[in-house]
Parts: sequence; C-alpha cells; structure tokens
Amino acid sequence: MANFRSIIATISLTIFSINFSNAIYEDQVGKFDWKRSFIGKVKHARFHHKRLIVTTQENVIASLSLKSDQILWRQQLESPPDHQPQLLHADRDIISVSGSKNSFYVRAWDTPTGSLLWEWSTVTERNVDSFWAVNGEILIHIVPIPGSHMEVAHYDVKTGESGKSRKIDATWVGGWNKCATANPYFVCISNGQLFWVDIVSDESKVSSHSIQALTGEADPGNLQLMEFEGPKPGVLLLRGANARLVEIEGGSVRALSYSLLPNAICVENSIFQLEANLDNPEKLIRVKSKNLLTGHDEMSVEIDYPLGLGGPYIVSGECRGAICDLLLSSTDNALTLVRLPEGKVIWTREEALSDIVAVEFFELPVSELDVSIENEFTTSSNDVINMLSHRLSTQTKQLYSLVLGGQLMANNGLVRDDFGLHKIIVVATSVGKLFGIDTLTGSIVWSYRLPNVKPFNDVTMMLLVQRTARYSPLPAQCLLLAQDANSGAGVIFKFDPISGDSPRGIERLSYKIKQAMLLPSEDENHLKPVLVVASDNSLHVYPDDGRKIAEKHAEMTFVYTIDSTLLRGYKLTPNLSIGQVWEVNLGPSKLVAISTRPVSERVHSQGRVLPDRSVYYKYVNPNLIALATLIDDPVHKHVLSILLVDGVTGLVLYSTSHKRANGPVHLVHSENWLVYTFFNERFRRNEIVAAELYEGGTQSNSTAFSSFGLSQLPHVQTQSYILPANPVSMAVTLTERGITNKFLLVGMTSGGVVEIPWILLQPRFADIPCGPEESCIPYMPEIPLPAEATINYNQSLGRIRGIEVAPARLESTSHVLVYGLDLFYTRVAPSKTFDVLKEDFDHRLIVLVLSGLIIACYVTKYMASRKLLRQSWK
Amino acid sequence: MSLKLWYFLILFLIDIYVAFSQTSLEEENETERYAIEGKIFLLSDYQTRQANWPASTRIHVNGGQLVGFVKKDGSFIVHNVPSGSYIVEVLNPEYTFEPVRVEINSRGKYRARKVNHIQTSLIIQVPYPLSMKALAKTRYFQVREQWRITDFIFNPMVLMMVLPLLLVMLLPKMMNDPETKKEMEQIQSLTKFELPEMSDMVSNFLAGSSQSANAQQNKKNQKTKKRQ
Repeated sequence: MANFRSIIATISLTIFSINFSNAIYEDQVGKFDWKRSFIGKVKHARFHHKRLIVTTQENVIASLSLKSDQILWRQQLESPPDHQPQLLHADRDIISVSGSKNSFYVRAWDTPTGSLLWEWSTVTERNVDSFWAVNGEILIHIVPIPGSHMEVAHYDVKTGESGKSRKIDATWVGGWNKCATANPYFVCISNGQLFWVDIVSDESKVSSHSIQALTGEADPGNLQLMEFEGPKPGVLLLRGANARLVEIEGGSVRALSYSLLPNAICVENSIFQLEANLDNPEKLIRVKSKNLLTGHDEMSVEIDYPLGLGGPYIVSGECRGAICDLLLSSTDNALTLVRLPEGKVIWTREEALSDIVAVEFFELPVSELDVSIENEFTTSSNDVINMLSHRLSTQTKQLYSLVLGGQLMANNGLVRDDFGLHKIIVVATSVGKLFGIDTLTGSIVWSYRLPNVKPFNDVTMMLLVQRTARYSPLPAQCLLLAQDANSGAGVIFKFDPISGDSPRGIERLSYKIKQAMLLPSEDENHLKPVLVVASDNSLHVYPDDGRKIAEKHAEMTFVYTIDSTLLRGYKLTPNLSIGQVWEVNLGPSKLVAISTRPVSERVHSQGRVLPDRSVYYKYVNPNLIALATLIDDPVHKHVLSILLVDGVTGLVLYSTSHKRANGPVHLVHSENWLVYTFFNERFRRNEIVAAELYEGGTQSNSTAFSSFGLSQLPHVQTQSYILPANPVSMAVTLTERGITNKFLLVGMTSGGVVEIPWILLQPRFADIPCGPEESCIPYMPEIPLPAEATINYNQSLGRIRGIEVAPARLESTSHVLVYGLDLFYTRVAPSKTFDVLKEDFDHRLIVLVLSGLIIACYVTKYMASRKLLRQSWK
Repeated sequence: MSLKLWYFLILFLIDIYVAFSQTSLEEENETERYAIEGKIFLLSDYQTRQANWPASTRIHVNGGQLVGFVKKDGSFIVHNVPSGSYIVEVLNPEYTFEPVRVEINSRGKYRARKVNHIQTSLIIQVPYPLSMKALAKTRYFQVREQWRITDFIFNPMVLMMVLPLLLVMLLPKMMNDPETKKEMEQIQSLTKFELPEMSDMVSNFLAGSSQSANAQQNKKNQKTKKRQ
C-alpha cells in the first residue's frame, strides 16, 4: 500500500512540475486581474462606532466604512434564499439573527474585526414567518399563527437559554405587513382595529383601539403596519403613500397629528424622509426633516442624487451634532451614503452587480487613425486630389502620434489594442440594470437602468451581439432580451455596448418570448438579424428588414426549445413560420443541467494521432446539446442520466447513466468532448467524468458538417475521476483559433477557481501505451488540485454563480470573468504565453550582450590583422 | 448540403436552481440535531502576526451546506447538524488545512476520521472534538527565477565555452616560461621518438623510396618549428 502511495506521490509530483508551472508570480498580483466585492441588496442597517453594519438579502453581514465605499469586513452566513437575515441589533456588540423559517442562528460579532463572539441556534416546529425583537438581555421570538394565536418565546441573548414561553390567544394576528414589533409591544391591525400586547412582561393583556377613532379618517381602507424606531414605541400606519405615526404607551395609544411618507425614519427626535423634487431638474431628490414632537419642518435639502440610479428610500441614519448621515437604498439595489446638511453624496455602491444574469465580452473599436487608413481605400478613391489630401492628412496624423508616443490613443480612451486584451464586459443584472465594465481597470464605464424588467424564469437574460465594433464607422450593436416584470411579455433593448447609448430605449413587446437566436448572415449594414419565437410559435424578426435574410436561410434554420421535461425541435418554413420536427420527452426525470458549445469556438485539430501515426478523427458536431437529468429511484436513491442530443435531427447520439448519483451536476461541452461532475452517494465524493466522441479512422465529410450525414454513431471514450472539491460552476477556456490547449475552470464552494488541464481528464485509450511521446499522462484516480492552479490565488470569491470566458486576439490568452457575490476578472494562458515575450524578459541584458559581441568582433578583428602584419614582417 | 443550426441561450431552465438547493441532507426527516465542535491551530508565527485571522476563517460542512465561524480563541461549533456523514473543511485564504470526515450516527455518537477519497473504507481515526492544524502556508505563486552567478557558471553550455577558452588563453602563456618551454620541448621530442606520426609511417611504408617528398615534408616541419 505504501508502495502504491509513493508511486502516486511521485507521479503527481512530476505532473505538478510539468503542468502546473502555470501559476502567476507574486509580483503579478493585480497586474491584469481585479476583484470587486459586493454584499447584495441591503435589508437592515445600523450605524455603529463610526461604521456601518448591514445585513443583506444575500444573507451577508458586513461592515462598511463611512468615508469610502470600502467593505471593512464581510461574513457570508448560510446560503440564500432559504436563509435570510431576520434581525440586526447593534448595542455593545452586533447581534444578528438569521435563518430559514424554522431554524435560526443567533450570532454576535466583534465590530472592528468581524470575528465571531458567540453563537447559538434554535429550531422551532412552526414553519411560518416570524418576528424577532431584543429587549436588554432578552431575545424575543414571536411566531404568529394567523387567525388563531401567537407564540412568544424568550431567550437569553448570550447563551440561548430558553426563558418563559407562552401562547397568547389572538384571533387578530396576521402575517407580514399586518403586524409589527414596537419594542416592548407587538402590534397588529385587524378589522379596522389596532391590537397590541406587551411581549416582554408576563402579563398577556391585549389592548385594542379603533383605527378610525385614532386617525380621524372615515374610511381606513387598505392599511399596513411598518416598524418604526423612535424614542417611544410606535409603528407606522400606512395607507397608500401616506403614513401616520402611532405611539403606544401602556394601555393608551395616540396618533401624531402630522402625516409622513412611508420611507420616514427617525434619528434623535427628527424625522427624515425623501421627497421627489420637481422644482430642480438636476437634483431630483430632496430630504425633508421634521421635528418628531411638533411636526414642524426643520430643514429641506436637495441632494446630488446620482442620475441613473433607481428611486431611493432611506434605510438608516445617524446624527452627530449638526451633521447627519443617511443611508439610501434604491430600486436597483444601489447603496448611497448622503451627508446632511450639505446634501452631498459620499459614496455609491452598485449592489446590482452582486446578481449577474448575463455576460458578454466586446472588442473595442479601432482608433480614429486606423479608421482613416482603412477608409482610404473605400471612400475617397475616385478623385486624385482628394486621395492626395487624404493621404497627407493621415500621414501627418501618423507622424503626430509617433512623435507624441500614442497620446492620440489615450485621448480617445476606449480603443482597441494590438492583442485584444482591452475589452468591455457588458453584464445584465437581475434588477434590469446593464453595466459596461472595463477589463483593464474594472471600473464601470456606463450603466443603463431598465425599469420593470426581470430575467426569464428569474435565471437568465439574453445578450445577442448583432454587430461587433469591427465595422466602423458603424457602431457595435447588441440586443438584450428579457421579460416584463409585471406582464411577463418580452422586452427588447437595443444598445451600443461600447458607449451604452440606446437611440430607441426599451421596447416592450406584445408577446412572450419563447426562444431567440441570431441568424448567421449579415445584412448590408453588417447587422445580424435576430429571430424571436413567441410563445404562440409565431416568428418575429428584429430588425424588421432582416426578414428577407431570414426567408433566404429558412431552409437551413432549425430552432429548439427546452422545457423542464420536453425538448422540441422546429424547422423554419420559407414563409417564416415554424413547424415541429422532433421531440424528446425526458419523462418523469428532471432536467438539472444543460450545455452547448460556445458559438465562437473553433476546433483546430481534426483528430488525434495514434502511435502508428494514423489519425483517429474527432466527431465535431456544432449542433449538440448536452443534458443531465436526475430521477428518484427506489433502489438506487437517485439516478443521473447524461444525454447528447443533436439539435437538428433530435437524434440521441450518446446516453449514459450513473446510479446512486446526485446533484449538483455541472456540464461542460466543448470541441468533441463533454465533462460533467456529480456527487457519488455510494462513496460520498464528487466525481468528474470526461467523454470524448470520435468518428473513427475515416472522416465522412472533411469540408462541412451535416447532422443528417450520419452513417454510424460516434465512438465514445469515457473515463471518470475523483474531484476532491465541491464544484459550483464550470467553464472551459476559449481561444481565438483553438490551437492552445484547453483548461477546465472549476469554481468551488471554497471560493477558489482552479484550472484543470484537459489533458489530465482526456480519456486514455485502453490499448495504447501512455507515455510522454504520446503526450499522455498516466491515469490518476484523483485529480490533483494544487494551490498554484487557483487562478484567483488568495482572493476567495463569495458564492460563485458563473464563469464567463472569451478569447483575446492573442491566441494563447483568454479572458475570464467569475461572477457571484464578487466579480473577479483575470486572463489565463493554458499553454503559457507562447506568442509574446515573457514580461520579465531582460531587454537590457540582450542589448548588452549583443553590443558586447559586436565590439569584441571588431576588437579581435583589429588585433588579428595586427598580429598577421607583425608575423609577415618576421 | 450543409445544414447549420444556430441557437443561443436556453430560456426554459426552470428546475436548475431547485436542484441546486436540493443537495443531499440525507436524514432530513430525523428531527434530532447535533453540533460539530473543534478548534483550529495555526502556525505560531501567523497568530502573532495577524490578530484578525478568525474573521477570515470559515468552516464548511459538506461544501457549505452548513457553515461555522471561528471565535477568537480558535474554537468553532457548527450547529443544526442532522445525523449523517460530513466532510468538515477549514477555509483560510493564507493557510491550508486537511479536511476531516465526521460521522454522526442516529444515536448521536461521533466519529472523526481522515478523508480518503480513493479508499473510502479505510478508517484512520482522528480525535473528536476536532483539532485542525494548519498544514502549511498555501503557496499560490510561482517563485521567480533569480539570476545567480553560480547558475550561470555551472551551465553546461557556459562550461563548454569557458574551458576551451581557458586552454587556448593559458597554454601559450605557460609556454613563455623558459623552463616549462624546455620541458615541453623535451616531452615533444620524446613523444616524437617514441610515437612517430601514423600518417607518416603509412605514407613511408606505401611510398617506399620517394625521398624527395620526404625531404619536402621535413622542410615544412622545419618551417613550422621556426614559426613556433
């Protein structure tokens, strides 16, 4: 056994030295990578010891600086959306309560460092939304059972020891919006009456009062209750956009005479609220403060609210003397800190970026100079004098830029570089805000907010590239397809991905989008038309004049849709309608993962060379759809099935199944292979399987692939390995021409993203010896994941959701964007940067050596001739 | 006929997220919940250097199904654990820890053992409550090759260049010394006597009587001697 182990160890050691010398050097940190951290949409916020403590819907507790938008510390609690923060209390320490509906974690945090002080947890039997309150050293848990009673339990905050718990008969108890805590009371509204009960003391006396008598309004209408923190226990009574503050004292209750807005908060006897400012078109938001006791207006400040953010509301505030800080959150999840009385915005955080649903990389347009050179042959070729002046002007420009060392480039800002390393990443977020991000710096170049837009099935939006920036002066054009948040109908947004301009703005469609795709051919403006399939199977082309192109290619265009259990393939008819051709029913099993080949991927080598120097041809089908399904099984618990379906014919080319296998399943399909991971329940470990498709010794059609021209099913080679990690996302590197080796990028729950060379996973042929001359690494059961293979080194990423890859113009390099709670961008070079000099290449040394050699040549030449002369005189 | 299918993102991915959240809590219906306890020990230099290490350390049970946080003294508790088998990992950006498998049976008995993915039945027990020691500082970076003079000198190419150069440069210098010159000449003369040149011998043997050629050769030899 020990022998076996040592063999493994030596093999893996040699492998490391061969393959994983790809890690970056320590001095390269931050040179071409960047990381932006986010926290999500803020739920609770407290000012505490000159810092801000927030909990968010991502179930994160974090501390933010008041001076800059920096995160001081951040702790990710249990994964959302099942677990949500319930309460944030800042007293001496910070106490957070978070959890799902029936299990809760109470934790206390150290304010300066963010380390845990103490924690305990509790499990309740009830499975309903509940309320929490802290009173001194007691934590109170209120579980309302609507229409019946409520259960109040007391805990010691520090130890979690159960105190008194009691049931209060209360038929008036409602759910969220109808009840609120007003320490030490619990208040509800029901049937036009306001009920409240003291939850801290022992007595269970329920008091009530008529709302009509309280507010003096005849018709109470649809009322809601909101928590309100003031010097006295009170709640906000909401009716539409109008709110009244109701204060409770023992058995009596009174409503304050003035009315407020629903987003009012109270800071030290002043009430702050935001109002729309219609007088000044540049400062649209105004903060108004009122005296709590009298209701008189104290001040009204117009704030420099940044344009492009959504409608704000106040989350929390703090006053130190005359200076007040207000924390605003907006409908697009942005977080803003405003300082009063100046009304200055101190910082803004775009928290929308913590939930990205679609990513696309865009090349930048070429510089003006290059454009003018290109234009010389197209535009002004008819007139000799014109051509001369054009030539002269471009060459002066060239000379100018040569002398000034490319300053012309810097002035223009976003221009293409030689290697395509500078790009713009366009991301669409779940709140419907689009961002353009610069790959070099990670800064936001532009943002565009689309109101009332949501992703399809809350999972994805579509970014379709109609025209790249290659065809200047025509700008690049991109389409975003999403869903209307209210009606569910389709939404199309056309924009220029480089500048973020949109001439037409958002267009709301009258139909629901079922599927959309880009047609392969361009029109005269180099625009690829987009074909949209509506839910009633009618076809729409965008832009409208792309219809002709669509009709021309209708014969060769196929569409597929994927439901939770059904795959359907359609064929276009010449009069632009679709007819179903095939259907694959996945039956009772559930679709868990899906993958298709990246559209821009190129396969460089057509086959694999065998030891007898014959070629074993790859089966490269661009129309393949890889699917994974799971089904419960009485014997094997769960069964995982993997299918490869041709998207044109609906033919299942390959299928396999794994017993006692469970999710999470991740699939990656690229070139002629497929990689998937799953959890093996029998051995309780994650496994990764590679499957490769081959056509065989002969290639059926070397010029063009046809899904119909299939004479026999492809040969499949498979091999499986142990993956000693928990994958959350998987992607494969993509390069311009596909010559470079492939790396699999695996995002793990630990917050790391590792690169695994495809050659480690590639299935070995059983009958062929494996050795260095066949560029084959002997089979290892466990895939090594050394720390050097972590592309984000020590910058752990929170809750990775996806990895997006795009090729650079340099063949060796591809761009990688990892998104989730954090954004991380880097460049990877799977075969090392073989096409550029290393950055530590010593230019000085080579110049020194060369000049030294030249000088030595001349000196020795001179000396030799002198010696020769002397000798011949002897 | 070339047929092409052009497709893009898929809209109807309804159940993927459901499946994600459905990860296996095997004995879900058993109500009894346990807690996994342990303590973390870092390498001593780290503790003194960076007081804030507990805040950047997390405990993941089964890849983040359950999480735990570390107190300032290094201890941790993961609550709400149903009976089952779990892998406990310590995540710290600077240090590497070995994961441990903790098994809790339905009667609440704990057993901790080393994680072995290849031989899953092999049991090497470790003490419970867990004590997790940092294995080493995580090496994320490659070490840059530094230019060292010894590396340069012992480079075989350099050795191949330098040694003949030394011979070429030094040997003529040694010749200048009169004593060594004499010695050398002696040696040369000795070798000449004992080992006549092979080609000469062969040519002499073949040519036999052609004396004139021999004379010429002698002359040439004399000339070269002069030059030296």
